[in-house]
Amino acid sequence: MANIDVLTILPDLILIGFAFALLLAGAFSRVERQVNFNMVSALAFVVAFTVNWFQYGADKFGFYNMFMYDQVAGVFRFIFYGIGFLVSLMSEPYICGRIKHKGEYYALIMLSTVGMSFIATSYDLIMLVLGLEAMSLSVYVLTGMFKTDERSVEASMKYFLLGAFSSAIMLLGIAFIYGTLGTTNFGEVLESFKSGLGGTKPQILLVGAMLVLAGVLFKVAAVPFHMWTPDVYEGAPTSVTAFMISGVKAASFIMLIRVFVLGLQIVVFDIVTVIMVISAITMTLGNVCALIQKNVKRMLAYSSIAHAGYILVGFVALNRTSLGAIIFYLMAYALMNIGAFAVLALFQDRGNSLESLSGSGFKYPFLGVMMTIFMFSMVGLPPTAGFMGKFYIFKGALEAGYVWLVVLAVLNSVVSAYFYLRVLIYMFFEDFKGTVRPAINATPTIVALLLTSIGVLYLGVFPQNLFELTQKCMTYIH
Amino acid sequence: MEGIQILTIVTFFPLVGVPLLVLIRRENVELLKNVALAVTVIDFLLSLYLLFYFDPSEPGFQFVERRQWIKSIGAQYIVGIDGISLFLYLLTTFICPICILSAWKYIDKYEKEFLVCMLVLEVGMLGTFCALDMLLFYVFWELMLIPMYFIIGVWGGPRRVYASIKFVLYTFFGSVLMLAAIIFYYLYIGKVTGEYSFDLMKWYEVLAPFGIQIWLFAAFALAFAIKVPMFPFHTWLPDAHVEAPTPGSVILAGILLKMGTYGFIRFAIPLFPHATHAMLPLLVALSIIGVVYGALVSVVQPDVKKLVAFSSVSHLGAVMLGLFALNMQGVEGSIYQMLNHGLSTGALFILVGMLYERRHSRLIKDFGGIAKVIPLFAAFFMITVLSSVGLPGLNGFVGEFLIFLGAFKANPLWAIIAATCVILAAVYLLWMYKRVMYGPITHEENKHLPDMNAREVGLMVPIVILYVVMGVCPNYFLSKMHASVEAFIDNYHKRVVMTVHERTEPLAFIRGGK
Repeated sequence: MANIDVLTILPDLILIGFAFALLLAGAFSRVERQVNFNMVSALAFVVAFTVNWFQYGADKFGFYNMFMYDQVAGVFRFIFYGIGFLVSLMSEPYICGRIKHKGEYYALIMLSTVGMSFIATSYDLIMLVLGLEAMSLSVYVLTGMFKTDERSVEASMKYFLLGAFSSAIMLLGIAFIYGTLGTTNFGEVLESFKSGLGGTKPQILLVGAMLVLAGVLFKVAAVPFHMWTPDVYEGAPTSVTAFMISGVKAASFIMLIRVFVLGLQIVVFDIVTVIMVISAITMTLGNVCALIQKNVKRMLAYSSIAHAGYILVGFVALNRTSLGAIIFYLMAYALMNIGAFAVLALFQDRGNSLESLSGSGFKYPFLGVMMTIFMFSMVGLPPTAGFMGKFYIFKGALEAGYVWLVVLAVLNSVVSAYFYLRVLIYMFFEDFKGTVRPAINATPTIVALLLTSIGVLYLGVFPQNLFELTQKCMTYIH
Repeated sequence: MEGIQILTIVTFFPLVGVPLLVLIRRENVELLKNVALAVTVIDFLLSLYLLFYFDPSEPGFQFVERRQWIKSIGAQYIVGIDGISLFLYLLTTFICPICILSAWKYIDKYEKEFLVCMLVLEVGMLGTFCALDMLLFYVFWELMLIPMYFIIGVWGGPRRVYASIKFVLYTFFGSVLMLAAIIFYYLYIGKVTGEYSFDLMKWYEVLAPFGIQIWLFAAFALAFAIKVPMFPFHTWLPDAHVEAPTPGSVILAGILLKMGTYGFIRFAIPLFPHATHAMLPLLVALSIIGVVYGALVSVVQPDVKKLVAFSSVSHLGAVMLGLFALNMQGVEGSIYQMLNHGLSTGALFILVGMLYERRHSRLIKDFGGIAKVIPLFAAFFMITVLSSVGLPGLNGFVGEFLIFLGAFKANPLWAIIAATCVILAAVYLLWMYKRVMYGPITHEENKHLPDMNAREVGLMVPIVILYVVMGVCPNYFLSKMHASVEAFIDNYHKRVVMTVHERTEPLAFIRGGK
């Protein structure tokens, strides 16, 4: 077992190679003009995805047990590469003209995805933090990519300061855990718990676990660590918001599962109570705050907090169904968010007020239909992926007996219907005011929209394969 | 079960029209409407197959089709109809082409999108009436919300935004709790029987302890009561009806409200008989309040459309009363009255819509004496009003008579109070008719109203024929329902006397947490 197995991170190495190539290409202005960066980036993700496809199935350890590539990691890699692919497709018309060096943008997307993938594959708390930082640092920069736009820079600064702070807290927690158990490796944690501590749980271990949890919940954007979310999601370039809201969220949840279900299983039942309360507050607060937003991006930011709450319900239930449901929900969530943000990005508007969408639904029917699909999916109405995701999460939670949490969650989704439908009210029920105009020559974005909408509908009607896949891969719990 | 069966074809056939409509240029309005009309008419003709090949002696489900859907959780694609759903299903296919005809002039913008919404809505409605898998049912049930939201919100009246969002939130509120109940019961049944399945037939075989039944019944009943709407959950209805465009109102009154009553017959009552039995006094009381309240409010409405909307509350109250009588006459009358209400109230909305198209007003005081100007319209209006009031010889009478007979058998007092609605219906409808149609012509602009044209006559004639047919030979219809209703009643009475042991074991299942 003790060996370096490069194959465990092969697709990530490919991405890193592509990222460096793009950075290099961006350095030569003659080359920069000729390269179609978004296509290269999309290609990189397709290659990584394909490699992962062939690797999927077998459990592998690598880099002296720093990495463990198992089925969960494989599925999450599919999610991350898929997100990267879709975001690469949809970005071009939005960043065109706003970002000078596009090579950097796509390279950062790829490096951030590598970070996410490291999180999903890590088998050691240190590796996990490395992945987390690789992901976060790239995203901080991406957030501030519009260098002349105050809000973008402000969001980046805010995100960076708070993110660094939360990482520090998390590291402190890891230090406590290391101090108690003498190891950061997931495999050895359980051993030392049995041999060194004789099955007792010292307080300091719980404190460490709580601190790590705080760091993870910051990334998840759960209450009370959600304060940065609206500002950052609103200020960041729309395509980057799409990337964060789907990718970073998925990465944070695999981090949660990886750390507490795979690694520190010994404390998982201690933290579940905390998470239960947090999930209840998170979904309620997210939805209530979203009710009064006038800016679509800000509204979706609050809604992402609410969705984090729903997904945490799946974690609270802590059974195979519900953990599988989390994966399914993250896929559905990524698809509908990237789709919704792709529509916003196509409209190119930096204001993103609800008002500016007035009448655009009938003026641009294709985008109108797309937005309708995504909004109804976020509400959780059939026949969309959002419905199946919620159904699956609730099923898991009811299996564990959390009736009240499910009732709270379904009532919350009624509240959420109001603000998601408000987007459609403006798009379809108001008259066109001529404030938005979709970008022309946006074929890749339209392809991304088609892919996401077909994905949302397909998962909504035929979820069977993914239900099965997510169940099967969740081998941490029986 | 190889090959696609008739029910699937009829249910999904309207979707064939969607790509056709999308391909036709939006300027070509006439062609768009004709295509949509053709699709719905063909669908209606196809659905007649069900009527002719339906076996009235068979109480169970017919034309059943089963397919795997989501294997890992035991959800299947199961459709089938019995005597209870047969006519509701046919009513849907019958009303849809009429709706599209009634929209011909009324809808004057985004015709293409409107017609697409109508077709999707029809799929949702048909699916709801024939789905026999709980998850499938829920999917269809919620699917209806989306097109209806747009129909009210885009093509509705001045307060359409408010009405549409109120409609969606109200309905959604009820149905999400039902979803939670569905999943809960699914897990419960899985625990008890060892087989996880959403198959309704399997669900019928299980009886939960009373402590569980009552909560699940509450969740189901809330969803259905909002849809019916039963007093006090009716407040979305006047808004939605008044603001919706004519075809929207027709669909709402004709079909969507029946979903609620249908839900009670198909799901809430047979699945949770003990809870039904326990809640019966409350449900009957709410039905009777609905009957009287709806009628009283109708009397004082200045707006014809609002009057018709509130009369729906009253009529549906009667339907619910007949249902909760839980005897043959009551339930058959209730199903019959659902069809009547779908036809006559639907027709009333169509007629009100015609008035509105001519005069751009729906206020009673803006009319008066127009029977002389538009005699043809007056005649159709008269027949419809009489049908709704329950004149013997027309359809309304049969349904109401059966309901009151059933209610009287169950408890004479119920019938006596509820029967006031017949008197009140005569008051509000005939009085409204008098004020709109007779007397001197008080408004100058009413003197030159155009009478009904060929299209309008064409869409009313089939409805009027049905009034008479259903009024004169109700047995044709009742005989097809008979076996299924009998089974429903027998089953209920058989199960309600069965004692369910309050075992601790299944209750431990909701203990919460690990």
